[in-house]
Order: sequence, then C-alpha cells, then structure tokens
Amino acid sequence: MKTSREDVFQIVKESLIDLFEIPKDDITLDAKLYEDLDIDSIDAVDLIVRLKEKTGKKPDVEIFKEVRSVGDIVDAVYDLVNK
Amino acid sequence: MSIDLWLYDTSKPHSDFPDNVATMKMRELSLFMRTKILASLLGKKADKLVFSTSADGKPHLENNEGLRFNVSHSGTLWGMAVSYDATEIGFDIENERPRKYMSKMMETYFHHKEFLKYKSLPEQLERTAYFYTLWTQKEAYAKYLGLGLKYKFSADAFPAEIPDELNILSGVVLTALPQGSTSYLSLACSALMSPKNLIFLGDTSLNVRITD
Repeated sequence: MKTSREDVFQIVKESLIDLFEIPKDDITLDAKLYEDLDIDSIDAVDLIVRLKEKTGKKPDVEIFKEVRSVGDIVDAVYDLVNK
Repeated sequence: MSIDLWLYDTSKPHSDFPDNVATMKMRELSLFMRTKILASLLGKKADKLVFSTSADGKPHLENNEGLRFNVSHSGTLWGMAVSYDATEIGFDIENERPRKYMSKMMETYFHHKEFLKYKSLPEQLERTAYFYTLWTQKEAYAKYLGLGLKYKFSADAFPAEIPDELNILSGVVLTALPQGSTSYLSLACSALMSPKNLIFLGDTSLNVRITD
C-alpha cells in the first residue's frame, strides 16, 4: 500500500517533536531545518536513524546536503518509501 | 603557527553581541559574529568582507591574506576557529544531550571498531562521552576536508583522546559555560601546533572537552 505524503509528514513531525522537543506548531512543510528549527548535522543523523526505524527505509545522510525545509525531507522520504 | 578559538555562551550577555541578540536566531547571530571578528582581525570594515563557499559548501573569505576560519554552534554555544597562515581548519562544538538513538547512530554511521569500543564501555556516561568526542572529531575533520556531510564517518576509526584543559591557545575568549553543562569541542588542522598539551588525531586533530 502506498504511503501518503501526509503520513510521511506525520512521521517526520512526530520524530522532530520526540527527538528534539520542537514545538509542534513550528513544524510546517515550509519550516527551514537549519534556520527555523535549529537542526544540525548530528540531529540530521539522529533523525535519519529514527526515520529508518519508522519507515524501514534508510535515507542517505547526504540528502541533508540538499534539503532545506521539512517539506523537502517529506518529499525525499516519500520517494524512498514508495520506490 | 597559531590558531585562535572564540567561544561564547550566547545565553549570557556579552559586550561583543549586538543589542538585539535576544531576538536573533542563532544563524543570524552566527553571521554577525563571524563578520565582526574577521573584520576586526583584518582591520577592515565589515561590509568590505566578501564571503563565498566551495562546491561542497565550506565558507571562505575572498582576499583573505591567508586567514582561514571555521564556525560551529550547538545549543547556546557559538564558536569560531581562525588560522592565519593558510592552515586549513575544521571546528565543531556539540552540547551533550540525551540521544535515544545513540547506539544505533554509532552502529550505522561510525567505523565498526568504534562501535565495538562504544559497546564495550560499561557505563552510559562513558559511552556518551565517547560518542560526542568521536562525533566532534569527525565533524571537525569533515569540515577541515571541506566535505561536510559527504565525509563518511565510517571511513576511518579515530582514537578519542580528551585533554584536560581548553585554555591552551592564544587569543581564546571564553565565557562561562552554563552550570552543569558538558560540551565537546574538536579542532582539525593541516599542520602540527606547538602547545604541548594539544592532542592530535593522526596529524590533523585536537579534541578538547569542557566540563563546568
């Protein structure tokens, strides 16, 4: 069964709240990871491990070179889980 | 050769900060501090500095007269390392915090030997110290290489040595760390440094741990 973008967004959102205690209202698709949410590279790896646990797919750490926003992560994970 | 480190706890007032520091995001403050310090070192006006980034994202200064810099921040800590004779550097700070997936991160992203050592440590406190020590060393090394996230942490097994003191470099500006905080700092550079109490990783890294 195909996982929807909304499902992926919820997984990413819950992960950001659980791992980094980011207020849920701050987590929008447009929120910038580095500028708005203060996610750094160690957090990025932490998040990837969590996303792998939740989705069964492991995003490459290098995707964080390319992504800028929560929406970018959602798109990357969505593509990965529906490949 | 010398390398200077600036380190600030941005949650505490400091005369180097702008008046509106309380409302600034860390990234904004970081750019301000970077520009202010480098302009002062070069004796230039801030608006005369021209920054650019390499293909892999490492920032540098145009017409820099051999000056190299590297910035890091974590939590409320902000720091910058500067070298003056074209010595490439990489610098990383991490504030210790609980990480639910620490063991998984070690297993997945670090060298197998490092993971085995991590697992062999009997206490969680030791494991956490080892994790952050290694992380900052590898991050500093990746930034030194200019590769950032492209450097695979699993490529090399690092020894993790922690010297006793930070106050070993000229020009260090230290503000008090928050009570009870534990932070880790690593600096990687392309040349050996003379102070005897710097500890090198191969010939490129030093690691310093600060405990309050």
